[in-house]
Amino acid sequence: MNSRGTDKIISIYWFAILFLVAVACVYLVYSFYGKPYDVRKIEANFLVNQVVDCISDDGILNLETLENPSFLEFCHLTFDVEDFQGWKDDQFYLEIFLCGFDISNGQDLCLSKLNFGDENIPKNCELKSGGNYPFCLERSSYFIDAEQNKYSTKIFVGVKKIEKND
Amino acid sequence: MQKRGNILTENIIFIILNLVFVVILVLFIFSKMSSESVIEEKYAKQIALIVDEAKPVMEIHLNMQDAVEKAKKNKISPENIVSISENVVNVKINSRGEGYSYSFFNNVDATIYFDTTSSFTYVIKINGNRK
Repeated sequence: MNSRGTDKIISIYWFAILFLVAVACVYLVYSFYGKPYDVRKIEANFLVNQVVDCISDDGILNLETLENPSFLEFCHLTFDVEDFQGWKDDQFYLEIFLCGFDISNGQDLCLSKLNFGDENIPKNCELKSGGNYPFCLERSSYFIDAEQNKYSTKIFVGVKKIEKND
Repeated sequence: MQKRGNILTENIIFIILNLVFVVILVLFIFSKMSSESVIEEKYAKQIALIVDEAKPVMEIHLNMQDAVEKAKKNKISPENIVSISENVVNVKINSRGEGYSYSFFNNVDATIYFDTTSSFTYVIKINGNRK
């Protein structure tokens, strides 16, 4: 009689454990598959690659490209996005600093700056990058021009698209 | 003898209940893994990223077996799963809803079509740069 009672208690505990396992599984599945895939990091890297490919040719900087008034069109870039939750075409930000590069003192003297897209994105990225904030990425590249002058460029990219990636 | 029989029956019922529990849990996880909205999102983003990194005249073949199978179940023709309009990719495998859209920044003229010679492959073609 006592043994049967113990069995019943063990059985209740066992089903309580199963219930906890089930709740944990459901929670994990919903937290993983309920969230969208965040692809903004890949997207930002691809955008930087495209800009670098556009402003240089085999490591030779093309200064005329940076002076082109329709830079985005020239580099085959468009910041138009789909109609979604009131998105206007403000989901990207691109900033390019062109600096002279002096090896003797290792200092950059920035000559020009270009920027396109929503200027609020870098301000938000100062608080946090990724998650429910825009994802931002900065990359430096070094080039020479046709006259062997040395340059460094800083390319800053921000991708918002928060509703579809977080 | 009667008591032995009872113990055996109880154990068998206990094991069967546990197995039923595990099967339900696994089925739940698999159903979420292959849910239509997850597949739509996965392919829309994947195709948008492929186009972002592609250069003119490239031709990319993408196996979309899980999407094609789901679409067929939902009576959607495989040719109508993916569409590209300007710079927005749309993937739709459910007859209800609008599908999932994602944009690409690469300003190229991209077309996508279902490869009828294979059963599950889509071909993404980068025709040139858009003006």
